[in-house]
Amino acid sequence: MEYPWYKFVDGTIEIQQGERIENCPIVIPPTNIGKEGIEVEIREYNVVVLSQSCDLENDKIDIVLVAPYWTFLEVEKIKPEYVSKRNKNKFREGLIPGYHLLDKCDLDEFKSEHVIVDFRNIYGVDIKFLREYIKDKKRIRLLPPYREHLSQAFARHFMRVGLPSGIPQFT
Amino acid sequence: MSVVEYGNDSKTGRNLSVAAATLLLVTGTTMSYTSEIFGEMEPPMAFVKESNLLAFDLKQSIITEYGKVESSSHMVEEEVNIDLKMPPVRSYKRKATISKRIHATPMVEISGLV
Repeated sequence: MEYPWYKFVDGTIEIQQGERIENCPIVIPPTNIGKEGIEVEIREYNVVVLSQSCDLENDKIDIVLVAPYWTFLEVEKIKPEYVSKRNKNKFREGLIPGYHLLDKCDLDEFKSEHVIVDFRNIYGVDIKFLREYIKDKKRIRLLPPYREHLSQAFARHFMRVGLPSGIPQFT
Repeated sequence: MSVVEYGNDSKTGRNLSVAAATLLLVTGTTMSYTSEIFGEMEPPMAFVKESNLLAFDLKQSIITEYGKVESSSHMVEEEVNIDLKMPPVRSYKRKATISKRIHATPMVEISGLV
């Protein structure tokens, strides 16, 4: 039995957890907020939706939580040492804190290499804006259980606890 | 005549008993020593294999008396600390005006509390 990672989505404003949105504009909170006008930076990231599908479907939230991702190729151009074969397998095994690896996509309508999701820097996007932004865009959506696996990995990262002194290794 | 009777009743029997006991003692010692030396033929090979691993860390390994390298599980499953800090696809700036400031208010009211 096959378990595909992705499903192609087109022509719908419905957003679900695990949805990948390209070039998503994100307003970066400014360092200083004056009494009158301010200058804000807009950054466009390729992002994956982290908010729960039920919250999105039932309009329980105004702000959609998203996390940016990059391909190994994009990372290699800037930090080639991070995508050695050893580190790629560490990403695959979930041994690099704060990051999660998603499989490549071989759908005819949407080809993509493996991508690394960054949980360390997450952003919020207004839901009304996002629905308007995606309605004409082709995108892919993570399928179960990979979608739940992403959610679990994010939760695990978010609930981590650093101990001041751990238990020494048994010898 | 049983072996015991034979051994108890004659000088030859006593000599046989001593010889048997000695043989058992030597055999047992040899077997024990042999397994320590040859039963674990892996240690030298393991040391070579471990030393070829990219993740091999001399500080993490414990070298035993017979040269066996006992790798800690921490070394095998070691987390890698990476900080990507990748740039966005593109970025630009916009002027914005603050239309109103809203102080956060609770979404629900809890009745019955004094």
